[in-house]
Parts: sequence; C-alpha cells; structure tokens
Amino acid sequence: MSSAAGEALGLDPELMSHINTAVSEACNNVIQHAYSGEPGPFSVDLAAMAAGLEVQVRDYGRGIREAAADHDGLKVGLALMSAVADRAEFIRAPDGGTEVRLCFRGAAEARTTSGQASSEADDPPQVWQVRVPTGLSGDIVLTVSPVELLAPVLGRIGRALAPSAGFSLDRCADVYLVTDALGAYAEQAAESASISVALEARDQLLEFAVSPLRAGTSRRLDAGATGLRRPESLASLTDELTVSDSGGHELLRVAMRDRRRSH
Amino acid sequence: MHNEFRVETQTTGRLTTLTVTGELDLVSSPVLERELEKAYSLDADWILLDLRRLAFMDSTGLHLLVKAQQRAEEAGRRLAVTRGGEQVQRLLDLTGVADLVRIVESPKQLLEADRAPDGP
Repeated sequence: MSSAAGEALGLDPELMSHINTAVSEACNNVIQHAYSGEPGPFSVDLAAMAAGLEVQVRDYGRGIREAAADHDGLKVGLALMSAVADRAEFIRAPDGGTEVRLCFRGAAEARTTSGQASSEADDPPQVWQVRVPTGLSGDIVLTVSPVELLAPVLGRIGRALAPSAGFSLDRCADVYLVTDALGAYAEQAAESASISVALEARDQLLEFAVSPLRAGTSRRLDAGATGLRRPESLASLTDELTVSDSGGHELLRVAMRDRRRSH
Repeated sequence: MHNEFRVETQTTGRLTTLTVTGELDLVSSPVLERELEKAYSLDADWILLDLRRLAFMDSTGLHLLVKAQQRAEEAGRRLAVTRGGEQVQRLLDLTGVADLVRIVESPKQLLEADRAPDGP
C-alpha cells in the first residue's frame, strides 16, 4: 500500500502493511482456489470508518473448506489473514461461495488521533451498505470508502489478477502506474465518498471501469489529474480509454493489453 | 512508488547471491523460481537470497522460499536469506518460515560465519 494513501488517511505504516497483506491473500485465494483456477466473479468492499477499517471479500465458487482440503498454500493464506487482522471471519455463504470479513481496529485509532477523519467519526458503519453503481459489472467489483484507499488496494488486486490475463512481468509494472493514476484521478473526480471499480481479466487484456465520477470531470483527464509524469499519461499506458454517461454520472473505462505478447 | 521486480545473480567464490528487488507475489514468483533453478547448477556451496530490497512478499513468496530450501538440499547446496524489510520479515516470523531457513544480516556475515572454525 502506498505511503501517500496511508498518510492521507492517518494510517501507520505497519497497519498499511497488514492491510496490504490481507487484501493480497484474500484475492490470491479467490483467483487460485475459489474457481479451481478458472475465471469467476468476486467482490471486494473496503471502508475506513469510526469502528475501524473493514474489508469484505466475497466469491461464489466452491467453499473455502473444500478448497483448503486440497491446497496447503490456501491454509497459509488464511493463517496470514487471521494473523494480521484484528478480527477475521471466513463464512460459507448460504447460496454458495465464501465471504471473508477482516477488521483492523488500529485504523480507527489512527484516524481519530490524526484528526483527519474526525468529521466522519460518528458516522454509522457504511461498508456493508455500499452498493455497486448501476452499469458496473465484471469478474471483480471493488468498492472502497474513502476514495483515497482506491490506488493501493486496486494496485494489489490488479497485480493479483494480471497473471490470469497472461501479462508479462514488464506489462505488470505498467499495471501499478495505471492503478495509481486511476486512484489519483478518482480522488479528484469521485461523485461521492465511495468509488467502485469493475475489473475483467481475459487473454492478454485487463479492463478497469471506474464509477461514479462527476459529470464533466473527464475533461481534466490529463497527466496532471492522474499524477503521472509527462510524457506518460493514462492514454499512453493503456490501449483503450473511453468515458460514457451512466445514469447522470461518468464512467471511465480503460483497457490494457500486453503488447509484447499480442504480436 | 513501486519498484520493478528484478533478480540479479552474482557468484563470488563459493557464494551465489540472488538480489531481489520489487514485490514477490503471484506475478513475480515464477521469475525468481527460474533464476533459482539456474543457481542450483552453478558451482557454489551457498545460495543467498538477498531480500533487503524486497518491498513486499505474499504467501506465494513464502511457498517459494520453503520449496527453494528443499530444492537446494536436493542439489547439494545450502540456502540462506538476508533479513528483509519489515513486511517481509513479519511474514517470515508469523508463519514460522523464519525458523526453517537460515537468516543472515548480510552476505558478508554469511561468509564470515562460513569461515569460522565451527561453521555457520
């Protein structure tokens, strides 16, 4: 997780490192085990609030108990999540699949003492109430609140997903540049306190759809708004970039291909 | 800022050092695994994984370390790692992998210990 995002939220480096580890393991588990190595849908919700920072990862594949029986690697991942989170729950969902809930208490202390989130300190927990905006669908739908959490979390998820798309190591390095850029842009353009990203991984193709963004903000989608250093820009790092209207707000969609492998 | 993943291999006398930079995860583990396979065939007693520049490791990296320890033994080599950054070291400690592999502070420390009369 980037130190910039952590500083903005008043999270200490150790806590950020724990969140980074937990998100990474949760996504690895789904990508490697929930669907027996095949693509399948899952969602990640992450929110910092008064009670702490909560992460929920939900898949619709085979249950965690069945998968753990076959894979020692999965057991290590589960143990790591349990070790770094203050509370970890692994729930077999009634309609199939697994729900992982992780809570980090240190986040609340950090945010309260930093004073940066004091206005939100009395807000009711919102993580389970976050709803995906209309128009977003994909293998993975990530929702974060506040928006500052997007860049670091999306970076780890993109990185976990890139091998499924068959990306080379070189192109994987660009994934971080793109997810950081999307995060920086979302901080300026998000319509509300939460933001969602749908991700798709296909053969040498990685797609991100970000929403809801304020109408008209795509005009500022240049290097300055994404934090990239010229001559790099979101357009130069990606292969497709479109902005569309989605129920009164903007939806930004970018697609990355692995150029080296596409020839 | 995210460092790109890199592995640099250097052999000096009885020691082959693989210096790992960036993040060791699902994406990069196969690259390190390939470099390790090459290292087993080199004529060095010790293989040292230098993790001091490693920014992040997940359970994929842990699995690789445990496997590397077994492969090194099979190849008649000895494996050691340098102490990594906080996140890396915490992962090794939490999972007990720190007890399975030999951890040194630096390549120099490994060589000095190896030269000592009672060995490392």
